[in-house]
Amino acid sequence: MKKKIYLIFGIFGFVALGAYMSARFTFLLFPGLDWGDKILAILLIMAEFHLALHSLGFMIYITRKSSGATKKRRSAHIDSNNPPGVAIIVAARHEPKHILEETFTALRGVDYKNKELYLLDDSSLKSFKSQANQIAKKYGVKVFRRVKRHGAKAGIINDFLQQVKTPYVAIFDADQNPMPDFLKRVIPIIHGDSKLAFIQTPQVYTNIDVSQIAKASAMQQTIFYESMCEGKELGEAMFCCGTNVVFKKEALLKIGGFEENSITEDFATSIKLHLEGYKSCYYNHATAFGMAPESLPAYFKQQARWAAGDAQVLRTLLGLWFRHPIKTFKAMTLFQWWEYFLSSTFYFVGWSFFILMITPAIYLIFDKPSFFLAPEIYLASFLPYFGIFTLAFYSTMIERNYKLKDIYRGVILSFLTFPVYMKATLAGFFDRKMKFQITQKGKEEVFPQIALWPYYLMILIYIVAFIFGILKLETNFYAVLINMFWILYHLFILFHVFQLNSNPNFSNEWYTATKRI
Amino acid sequence: MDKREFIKKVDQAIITEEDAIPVYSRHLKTIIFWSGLGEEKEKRIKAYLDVLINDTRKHIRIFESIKKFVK
Repeated sequence: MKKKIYLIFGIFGFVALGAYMSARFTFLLFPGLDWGDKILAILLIMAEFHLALHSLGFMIYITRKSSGATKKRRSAHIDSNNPPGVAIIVAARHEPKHILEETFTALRGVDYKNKELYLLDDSSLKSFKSQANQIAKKYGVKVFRRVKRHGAKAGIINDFLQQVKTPYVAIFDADQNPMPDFLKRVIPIIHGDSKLAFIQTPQVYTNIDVSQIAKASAMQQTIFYESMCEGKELGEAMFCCGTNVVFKKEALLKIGGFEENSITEDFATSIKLHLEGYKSCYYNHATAFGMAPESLPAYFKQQARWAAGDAQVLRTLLGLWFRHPIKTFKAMTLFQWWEYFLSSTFYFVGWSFFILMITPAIYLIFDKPSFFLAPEIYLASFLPYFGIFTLAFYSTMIERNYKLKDIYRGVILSFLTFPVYMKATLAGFFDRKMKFQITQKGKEEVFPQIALWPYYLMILIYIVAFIFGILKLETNFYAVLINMFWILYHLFILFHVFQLNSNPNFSNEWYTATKRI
Repeated sequence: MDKREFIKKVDQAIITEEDAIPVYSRHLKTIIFWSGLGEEKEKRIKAYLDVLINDTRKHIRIFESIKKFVK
């Protein structure tokens, strides 16, 4: 029954999307528009088209999944007394001691005979170096330090790869805690296929009650890992997410190690591996637990890094397509290219949100229309498309036991990140230097009000536009009313930023639970 | 294995009891949230996990007594 419902969602969704976009493109071609109108109209339709493509991507994931498609993976038999060696590494730079201690507690508890634990200490401060040494002694961990700094996390891992003897390397962030059966579950799979370069497992955030940001961010991760990554796995297009992942050392060495020129080295390295003919796997079982960013500044830092990194990769891919179009096209399957297109363009969503937000205000204040559908055609074509996609999205999530208010929080947070995405994608795409910023956990941090100026500015513009709307309501009732509705809708979203910009609750049980007993 | 090595093993067991149980329990307590088990079951599982954490205290005391006895 469920399968049928999702199939119906899929079919109707495609039809509704096609009808809406056809109507939009057709009416855009109408003559009699001046250049100002055309530019605005083209920007708006590009924004809508971008969102539509990503919605389509999501719809494809759920339709394929609901059709029962699964990827068969061959598992090798592993001798539990003598399994292939795995180096478990945590690259850290100035991480809080208690977080590293918890991680090494969990790593030490990983039930696997041939494992070696390494702390790749990249700290420059003496106090953190000595802290790393203390942890090493307490938990039986080897400390690896590099002689010369190059390429942030990717650089130290590459140096480490040159000297490690084990055939597999498991990578964890400093705040990720695997369960004891982690390696026993994934090693047979990666060992069973010589072309499988890595296995990615989900990140499950568990500090969700510490702050609203943590919960919203956890919700976003869940949407990504439980729906999108499953789709990517079906298309053999899963990329590495930097932690909770096991690599085949030989595959990494063959492509020259991790990509050091990207701030999302994991994503960039995945493409290199796929272009080289290697495969990847997504193992959708929660086998490691970690921490979400807990404050708005921490969340924005994380998102800026991801957005800039993905835009850097888009630039690289476009370069490859431009220089060697046929060779590049042949290097991956069509589905892999589609997935990489979606992944590398996702964070441009900030621009799409901004255009969607600003165009109603421009219409109300300056009488510059950017949308040329008659209100009745707009409602008849937009509402089915919007309704079906929203329903499909929320019902998939609710089916997985997520509460509506939590999903809503995740969606709002994503929308509010638009200024960060805009700035970061520009920096990434035009290769402007961005500092590699680590998301600090367990730290009190809020933005001063002045730092929230993009939101204040948008709110001010909206208030002015709304007043203009009231004054112009009689001139073109339906068009003005629809634009005023969008202004109110976006205003409602924007006001959430003040609520979300608050300090995490460090007296929460999540923090107190692991204090010495 | 000599006396020193034995004490080292006991120390390791204490670390595991002291650190690992609370770490795992904390994660488990939260992931119930994602499981859709319902509030009633959630509460009971959390209570079980609390029992585990309390037992840890006893275990540590026993390990400490063993250490004292060996020394």
